[in-house]
Amino acid sequence: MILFNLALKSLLNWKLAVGLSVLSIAVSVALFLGVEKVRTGAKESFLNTISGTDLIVGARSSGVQLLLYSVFHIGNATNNVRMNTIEDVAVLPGVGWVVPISLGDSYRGHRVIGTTTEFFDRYRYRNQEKLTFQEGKRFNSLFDVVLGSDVAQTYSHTLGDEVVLSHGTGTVSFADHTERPFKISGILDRTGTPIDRSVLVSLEAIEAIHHNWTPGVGHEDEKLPTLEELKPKTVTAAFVGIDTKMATFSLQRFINDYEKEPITAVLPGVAFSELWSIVSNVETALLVISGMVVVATVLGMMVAILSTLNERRREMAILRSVGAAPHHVASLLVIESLLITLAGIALGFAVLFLALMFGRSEIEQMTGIAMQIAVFGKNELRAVGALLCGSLVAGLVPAIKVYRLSLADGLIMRL
Amino acid sequence: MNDTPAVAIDLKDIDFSWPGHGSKSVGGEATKPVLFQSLNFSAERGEKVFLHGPSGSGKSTLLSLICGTIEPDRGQVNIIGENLADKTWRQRDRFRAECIGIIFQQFNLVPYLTALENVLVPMSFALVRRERAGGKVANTKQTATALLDRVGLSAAQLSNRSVSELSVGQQQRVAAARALIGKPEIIIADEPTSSLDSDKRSDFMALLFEEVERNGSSLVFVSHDMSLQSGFDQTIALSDLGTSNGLGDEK
Repeated sequence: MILFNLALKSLLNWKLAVGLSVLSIAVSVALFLGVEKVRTGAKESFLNTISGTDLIVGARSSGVQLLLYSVFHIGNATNNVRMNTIEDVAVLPGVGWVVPISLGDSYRGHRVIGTTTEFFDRYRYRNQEKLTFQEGKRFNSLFDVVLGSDVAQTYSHTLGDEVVLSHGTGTVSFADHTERPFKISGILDRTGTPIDRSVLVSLEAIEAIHHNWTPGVGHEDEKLPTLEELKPKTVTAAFVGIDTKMATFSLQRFINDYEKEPITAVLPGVAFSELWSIVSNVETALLVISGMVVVATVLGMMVAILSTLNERRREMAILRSVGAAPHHVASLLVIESLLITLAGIALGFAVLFLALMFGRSEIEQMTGIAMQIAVFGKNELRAVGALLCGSLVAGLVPAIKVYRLSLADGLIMRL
Repeated sequence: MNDTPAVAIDLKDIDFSWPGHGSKSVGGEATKPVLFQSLNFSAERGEKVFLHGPSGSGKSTLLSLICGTIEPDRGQVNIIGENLADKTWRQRDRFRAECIGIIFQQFNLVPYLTALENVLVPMSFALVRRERAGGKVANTKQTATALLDRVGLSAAQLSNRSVSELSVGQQQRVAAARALIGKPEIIIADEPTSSLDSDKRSDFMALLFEEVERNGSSLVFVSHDMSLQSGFDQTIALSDLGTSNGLGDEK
């Protein structure tokens, strides 16, 4: 108890040096925890870009590629899938629902997703969250369009605005579908998924803007085709929901062996993990770097304590003279380093907590990474434990030195 | 005289050489600088001993031997009837805390504690002294305040002031109070007045004598300043205690 009091008062005596040590530990702890938060948050957000969908079906390709173009809108499909095939899949036993999507057009560089209105019911992200509307509603008539929140925000679009889609997926387009402008019927809430940067129209609309249309020339006739004519012959991919989850693998096998057309079915979870494993090196690197910062900080604290030892040698002799044994004097230093570290950890947690409290929604807005405030995982606890052990060692090094010194010095004062 | 139970300090036939300073001669025999050879020293209970000698004559070493922070090469150190050689280092630390109060030349105080806290520090390491000072925290505090008052430091003077703001004379009086609290059997003072001017010096001596006599403690007072020797029961030159060779003389 006396040692604890002495340690506390001694630390208060070195306010500046101790304060800086505490601060540097707090910063490194906050950094480490922050990296960990971002890492887990990013992973969570990424893995849950699409949920509730059991299979994604597209033209024969690798699972990762299928996932990349159908969900992340990165790259292009190797081939289209015939609508007949999708209809065949839809009637397979166990299949609950099928939502086809048609990609290939864009609006100012943002992908256009041609799909059915069922998309709004079936598409789920994160923890089974549904798409919701900021304003307006789903597309209803042929030339209605629904905007993702980013798209609407970037171009300050409101309901009723007219937009012109472009052929192809480049940012700069040379072939616009100017004859067939769309009217905004709805704007979606933010999801933190690629949907935010997408534009949704009906499958029939996609057909309509391409019906008898040649890039650079335009439509051969101005007459709108009939709805029968607009029935899509091919789509890019389809999201599939399965009622009996047990059937997932046999369905996947069946689809992959489908004889009339070479197609691939992929389990999103599996493809996500595959994809994540590609970037997990970066994840590890981040963790290692922030871990090293923590190590450097502990070393810094040790140096700070060691550097005060000579000045404190006299103090040690005084303590020895009033009855403190060498091990008392040594424990004093260990307690001090533990106190510094504990204060640093507490401050680091507080800093991160406050940062998350006030910055969480902004971060989510900007990056789509959802971070939880309160939940600290095993990794964090392990890191705190390791840090405390490290500080124990960092305190022991000067403590052992002081132990030796105070044995050698005894009560003799050295200036 | 040494056989009486009232002996507080009894050093018998002490040899001491500094470890680690020896240089190996060609023959392989280690020659260490011998500091004491067959040194004898004793002080009775309540006796005030003035110990003098030039610097480097081993005054601090003798005090360290009495305090049990170093061991003699040969001979016996008995402190209030107990042989230090029978004790472990840890027991010696505790024993020293219980029965010896120490005042150094200067910078006696733990810089980050208040004067009162400084006086109270020994109470955490010495249980018997704590009992004598009142036992409970409130009581020991009262004792310490009274002691500070007696050495001329009123509570008002000390309140809210860091000990480093005190004058050297005041600091030495705080150190004296700390050595005296709980009435240890032995007070050791290692040139406590050397940083004081002559007025303060005689004040300090008077105060020290008064408190030591009140406690019935033995006082070992080390100084090279012979003018301070009046009032002591015994004046000893370190060189008379045994063959004290000094650091330079190797034999």
